[in-house]
Amino acid sequence: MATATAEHHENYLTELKTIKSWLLTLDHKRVGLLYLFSIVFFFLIGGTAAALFRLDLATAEADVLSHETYNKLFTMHGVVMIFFFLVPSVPAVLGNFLLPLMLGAKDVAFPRLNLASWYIFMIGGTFTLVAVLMGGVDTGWTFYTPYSSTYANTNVIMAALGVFITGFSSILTGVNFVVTVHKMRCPGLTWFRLPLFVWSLYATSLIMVLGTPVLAITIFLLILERGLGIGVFDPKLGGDPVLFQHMFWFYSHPAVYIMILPGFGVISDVMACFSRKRVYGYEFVAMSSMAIAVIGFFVWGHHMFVSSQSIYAGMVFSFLTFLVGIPTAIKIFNWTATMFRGSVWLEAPMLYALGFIGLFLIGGLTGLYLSTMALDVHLHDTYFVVAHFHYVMVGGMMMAWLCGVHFWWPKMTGRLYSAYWSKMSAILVFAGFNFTFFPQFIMGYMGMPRRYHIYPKEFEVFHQMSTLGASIMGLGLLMALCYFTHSWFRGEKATQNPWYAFGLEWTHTQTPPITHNFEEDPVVTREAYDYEDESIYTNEDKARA
Amino acid sequence: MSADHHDHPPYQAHHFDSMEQQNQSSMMGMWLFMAQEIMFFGGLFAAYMAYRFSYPAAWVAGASTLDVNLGFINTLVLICSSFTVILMVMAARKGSDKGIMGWLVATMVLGAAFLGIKYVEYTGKFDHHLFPGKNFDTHYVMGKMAAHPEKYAEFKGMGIDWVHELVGHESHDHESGDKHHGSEDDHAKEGAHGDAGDHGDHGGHALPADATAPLGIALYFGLYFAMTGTHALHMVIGIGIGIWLLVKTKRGAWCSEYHPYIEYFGLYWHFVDIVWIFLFPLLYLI
Amino acid sequence: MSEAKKDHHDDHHDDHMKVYWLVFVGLLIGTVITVLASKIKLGGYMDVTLALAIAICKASLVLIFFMHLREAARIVKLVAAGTFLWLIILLAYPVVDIASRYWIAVEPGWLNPHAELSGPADTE
Repeated sequence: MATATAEHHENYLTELKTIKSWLLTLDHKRVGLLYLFSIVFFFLIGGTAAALFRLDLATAEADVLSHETYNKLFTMHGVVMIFFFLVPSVPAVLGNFLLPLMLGAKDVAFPRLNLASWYIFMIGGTFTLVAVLMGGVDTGWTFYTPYSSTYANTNVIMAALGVFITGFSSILTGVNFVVTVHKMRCPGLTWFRLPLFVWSLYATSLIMVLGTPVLAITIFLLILERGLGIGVFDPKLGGDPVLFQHMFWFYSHPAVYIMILPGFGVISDVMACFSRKRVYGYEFVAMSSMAIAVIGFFVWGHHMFVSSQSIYAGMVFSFLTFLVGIPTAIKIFNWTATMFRGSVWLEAPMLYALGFIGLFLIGGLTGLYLSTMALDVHLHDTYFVVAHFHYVMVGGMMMAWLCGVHFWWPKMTGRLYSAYWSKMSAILVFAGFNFTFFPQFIMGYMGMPRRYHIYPKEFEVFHQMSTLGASIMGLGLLMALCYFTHSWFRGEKATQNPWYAFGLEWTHTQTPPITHNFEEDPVVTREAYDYEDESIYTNEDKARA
Repeated sequence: MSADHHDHPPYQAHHFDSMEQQNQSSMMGMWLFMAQEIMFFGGLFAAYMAYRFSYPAAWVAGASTLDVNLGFINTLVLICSSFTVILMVMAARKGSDKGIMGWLVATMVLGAAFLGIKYVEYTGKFDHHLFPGKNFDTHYVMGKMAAHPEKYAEFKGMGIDWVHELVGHESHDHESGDKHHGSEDDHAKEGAHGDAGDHGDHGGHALPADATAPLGIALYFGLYFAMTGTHALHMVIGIGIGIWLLVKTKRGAWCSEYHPYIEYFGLYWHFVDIVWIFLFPLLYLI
Repeated sequence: MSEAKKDHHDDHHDDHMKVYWLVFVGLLIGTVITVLASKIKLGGYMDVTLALAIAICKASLVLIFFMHLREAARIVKLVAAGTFLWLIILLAYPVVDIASRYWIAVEPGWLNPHAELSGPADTE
């Protein structure tokens, strides 16, 4: 039944409908949607690149692409997927939309800065797309010197500029979120009553602020070297390519935590809702996000074990990498414990969340293999690494993002999507994903190097499984695009709280919310996931505590 | 106050509940922004430290081409500009628009002076072919090294063994005091031969045929330009922001209780000063 | 009553001004000391350590007094302290890597049977 509240006011979508009102919006919810459209666009680009080279890799010979094009495609896949999809996925889309709602605030601390972040993101994306149109880059997303600085004859500067500019979008979002969480909480909302999604966003934002500038200066030096000949990384002048790697990975390892921590936050909220139970060990999960953010800054050298980095430094990095697995494991245990004796119901968000736990577990455990120096000597630069990071980034993060979009879609759009097709899609994505990447563990272990265009025949069967799996996964994702598009225009109108979830964004706002979020400032008196309270089943209005 | 139905000051944004919340949020945001600026420059300092550790002789040689006096003056200029910034902030807290504008202009003038001196230094470097890249030439550096070979006594190898042999010569010439006269004749001769470069200013030694620059010298200059260039860029941006603030102040945007951008500009300017406080000894005083 | 408040305000400002003058002079003197200290050659890493120590003192003066860190909210102090900690990590690690990179090559033993290898030409 359409609720009375949904018709009371205009909501943030209907209040003003001009293009100008969207492009000059100061409303965090609209900024979140702007990001949603943008990153879906970039995801399609990165995905197309992958589809093309996966097609070629199905055979051991180079029969679809030239070598140069292959190199450019995997580079662009990495650059676009990491900087323009994964990093902003949850923070910029869901974080922007939900953070003020979850805090009981009217907006983020700096709304104009928020809009500026989106524009900076789009400008950076434009530079990168121009680089693609001008012929692409072939250095790999890691831009290792001296190839990128001296020897490559592709559009390194243009692509690097794109990444440099987008980094500032990330930094400014991080600044915005940190201040918002500190200063804009409504009365009664103490730190340990915050949803775990907020904790994870907060930890992520700290990393964004402290880590991204180091990437910025690294790229800046790369551009200076390539453009002006200031040879900071040139070995002929005494420069050290490993220094580039140190500076690059100082950001890029914490970057993977920027990517995954918000996903962890989504899973926490969804687990609680779909187990009808508070998250087990709330404080531990909250603190583990902070621990991951901190320890995550000390482990970057595990990408450089075989680069001629000092072996003693490597030992320290290896030890610390094992250590950073502990807070992550705590989260996995706690989510599982949340389900235990809970009342689990399997809608699309929960399917993705369950998939996340299994797949991220595999990805995380294989990370431990890689952090063991002795094993890494054999596995570095093989498909084992490729499989590892795709398990955590795609099987983990992408699924967590989809989980979050499926969970909060009714709140964001006021519409429901097809339950049947969403579950089908989730299963297809899960199955396709595993079919794509599990064979890669095996062939990596057998010695298949990454980023190779042509390879020995013995690996062909694995590559073919991988390509087939990718097609299935792609189908599942396209399905999602279809039903979400259908839902946007013609979906059944959602009730105020279709999942009967807790959280200020569900219980105290209209669906979709009004522009200034709350009719009156909420006051929080209960903990974050008080699902044991039965009243929410019987009368959803009673949920307004 | 205007006949508003709002009971908060007109400069309070609608998503904040009080000016206190707004001010605290903005101050915290500004400091977080500076945190990322610190990490930005930090990367440059990390590269500096790594290479200084690996190539100490190059660092001594490179620093010897810098004019300590100019660096010293620039440091004093920036410290004075930090002081004028503080005076500007005090004027703002007293509500004096004139004071703000006066001290802001003073700050920008000092900033421009700093950039002017930097310009002089940079053109000197370009003239001596010390900008890395195609035109990089180490003659000038080696000349400077030859003038003070005792500084390199502790470094073995690194392409500078020839300097150690000059140590005896140097002290000998110093005592004789003829060094400069002699060298000017040499220079005239060299000039007549149409040699490119400026052998004229390396202080008077003909370089031995096997003279090479220390390993890593191009890295020193690469980092010199990268670090001072980034710093100068931040100063230019600062001056630009200062001009915008001048305009806003003239239009009466501030009062004694509310002048956030003046305060944040102050913080930014002090930050740029702090970076220079580290750059000066690390680049000039080796 | 506003007059009294204004006077109190001015006194407050005057106290601040005194401190600012002191810090200003301190910074100028610190700069001179920096240059003088560079003339003393202590050898090895002590020179750069001394220069950095003086620079850190000067920077601290600017941070604490000119940038009002002294009066700032606790969270701002935390941001400043945390950032400098992170900066140290960034600065330390590449140096530690390079410094220890060739230990393995110069020390014979089970980690490196080819002990005749030595590091980059002629560094310490």
